[in-house]
Amino acid sequence: MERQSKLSSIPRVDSFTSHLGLVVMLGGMAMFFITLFVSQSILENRFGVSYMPGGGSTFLFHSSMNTMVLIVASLFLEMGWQKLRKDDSSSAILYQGSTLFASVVFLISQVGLWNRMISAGFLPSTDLMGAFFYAFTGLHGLHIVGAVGTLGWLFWKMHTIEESELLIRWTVNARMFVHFLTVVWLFIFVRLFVMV
Amino acid sequence: MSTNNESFLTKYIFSTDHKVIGKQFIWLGIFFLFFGGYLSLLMRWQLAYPEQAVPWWLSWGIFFKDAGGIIDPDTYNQLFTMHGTIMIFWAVTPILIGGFGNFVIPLQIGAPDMAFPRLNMISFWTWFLSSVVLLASYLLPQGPAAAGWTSYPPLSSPMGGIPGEGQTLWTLALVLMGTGTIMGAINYIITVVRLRAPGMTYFRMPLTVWGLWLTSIMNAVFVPVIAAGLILLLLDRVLGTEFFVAGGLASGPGGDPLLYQHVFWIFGHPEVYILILPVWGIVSDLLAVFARKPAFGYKVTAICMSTICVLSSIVWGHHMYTTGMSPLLGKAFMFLTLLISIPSSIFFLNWLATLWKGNLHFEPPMIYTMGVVWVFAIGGLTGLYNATVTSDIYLHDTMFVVGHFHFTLAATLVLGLFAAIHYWFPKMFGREINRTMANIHFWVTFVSMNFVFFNMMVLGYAGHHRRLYNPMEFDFLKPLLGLNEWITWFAIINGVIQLLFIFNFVWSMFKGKVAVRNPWGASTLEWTLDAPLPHGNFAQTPTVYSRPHEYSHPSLTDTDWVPQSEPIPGTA
Ligand SMILES: [Cu+2]
Repeated sequence: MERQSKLSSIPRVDSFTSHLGLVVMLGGMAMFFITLFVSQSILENRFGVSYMPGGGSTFLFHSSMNTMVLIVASLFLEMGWQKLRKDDSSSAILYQGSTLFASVVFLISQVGLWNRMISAGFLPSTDLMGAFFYAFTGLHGLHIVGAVGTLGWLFWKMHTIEESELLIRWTVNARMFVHFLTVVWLFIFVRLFVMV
Repeated sequence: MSTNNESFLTKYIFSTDHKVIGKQFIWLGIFFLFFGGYLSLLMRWQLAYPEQAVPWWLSWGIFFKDAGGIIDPDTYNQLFTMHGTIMIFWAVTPILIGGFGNFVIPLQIGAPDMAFPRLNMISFWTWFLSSVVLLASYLLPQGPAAAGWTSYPPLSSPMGGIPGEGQTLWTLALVLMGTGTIMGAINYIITVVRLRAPGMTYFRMPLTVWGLWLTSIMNAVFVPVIAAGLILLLLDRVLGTEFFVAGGLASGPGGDPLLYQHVFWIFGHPEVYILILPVWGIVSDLLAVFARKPAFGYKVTAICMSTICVLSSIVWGHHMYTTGMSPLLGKAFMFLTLLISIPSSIFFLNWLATLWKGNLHFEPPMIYTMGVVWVFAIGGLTGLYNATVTSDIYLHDTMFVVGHFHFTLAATLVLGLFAAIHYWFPKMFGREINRTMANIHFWVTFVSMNFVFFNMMVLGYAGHHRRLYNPMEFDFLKPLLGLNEWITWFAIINGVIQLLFIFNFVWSMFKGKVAVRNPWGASTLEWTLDAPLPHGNFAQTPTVYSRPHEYSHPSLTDTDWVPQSEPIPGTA
């Protein structure tokens, strides 16, 4: 509460305004990833599709597992949200923590995938497929790092803050952000591993 | 309402007050305005006196020492690259959008602050960080970026011929700057949507707010596009990918440099409207204030500006007529581009109609505003030649283009920001800006900038290419040397007179006459407050009863205006 009062001369905005701000931000992020997807399609169209080592199937399993982890993270977050709405904050904390854990697992597994790719000699400079693979997974990964930060902060706030209105607002925002990144990942997964 | 126990650090450095952040942006922008302006003078020197030593008063006795005072070709490339980059992204954008956007939007819509004050502060400091990264490139052994403000690959890719890491830092600085821009855009959009005072409907907002709001929407949509393109360029430079490298330069099948041009201009064309929309808004408002008349066709002007935003996102190909695009596509882009002249002409005629039979007061903000009307007309009309495929194939990449976009961007924006500074100065600093100095500054600036930019178009029409290190290497350009010299001297005059502006600015901040609450008799909400404005702005949220410029309303008797927060007597 101490920290809030420092900003007391500025009235705090309502939850809807806060969510609306996030929607604009996600719109911008969508434009960002759309530009990348369109660029990939244009270049693929011109130069043909190149293949990952082993036709991609070698890494398909690993990448499918990553996809599952991210979907599970989104599901945990959704379940935590339902619990929070029913005022069951202890279960909410548990699910929120699980989301955080799953996101971290995703990042670690993603680094593992890069390691395997690099040892197979598949580098950003190998070909367009490599270039887009590392660009997409890297930029998505950076956003996941942001999500992990947000979720960690939220996890900490859930223990320290009493005000349920703020908590719900932040949870809704975190929810939108994480789900958005899951959807972006599904597109990336399809584009990099399924459509080759 | 005022803040309790704020330390110097939270009050002036890491402030969350939109007015303080606005001023921080303006200071940052003015620094870069001078920096970028200085670079242009060096460039002009080389064009008028090719490969002759820069005189001591221009090189300050410290630059270009090793080359005997001569600007070498690499340095020349760096000059025009950094001049364009700095003027667009670090001078005009911070002053008009960061500075006046921050200062004016909450005040004019009756809001206590931006919707997200902390995000606002982070936006400024991200911008500041990007400035540091950009300037740091001057410390590199091979100097800063040199591939032009558009930084087309392959010139901007590592195998493309620009040595050193300056280009990498340039790309990184732009990505950071873009991040800061998007943060600001989110704030402005949401502030306008959610924090308007009661009664402040969209069609009661001052046109300044309209301009800044539309600008922010465009920023939120299109800056991410260039961010994606720049990150791919960065990966080309750092990780050895080949998104934008083709042919012999590529190690394998490679990518496509033209893709970068598309991505750049999908952002780049909206960017020119991003920059100019705030000025259109400011001019529309100021003409009404100083003609003591309602802005003619207020609603139509707002709708025209919105229409232009939509059209501007589908015309980017007019920058690429000479890239070998299909003639059908070229025609389509030409048609769409020329369509923009319809809404532009409509609101331009609205400006003239606002002046028509007005009671004109030639206060300093007004003369700058009238200057904008002139230079924007020239800039807009000469744009038609660039939009038309047949004439553009001749004019492409000549000084004609440089003259054209300096009329629209440089002259219009700089006069627009001077108008804004002179107009809001009393509200920002509680003092009046000196009128005599402002008048001298305006006339010298106005005459010299017109001479410079108009004759650049003459050069271009004669076939003088842009980004040319030494025009004297071509026989057919030799007769143009005299004109180049004249342009340079007028540019120098233009540069020198800006010192008067900065003197006037600083002098008036401390020694100017103490300003009254509403020196211009303007009816928008910021003028109902006394300077210095407290953090939180309005003691009581105002209620708005009328449009922003109901000047000389027939039912007014003693004065010719009432603030928007008071009903016009006899109406209601
Ligand atoms: Cu354009």
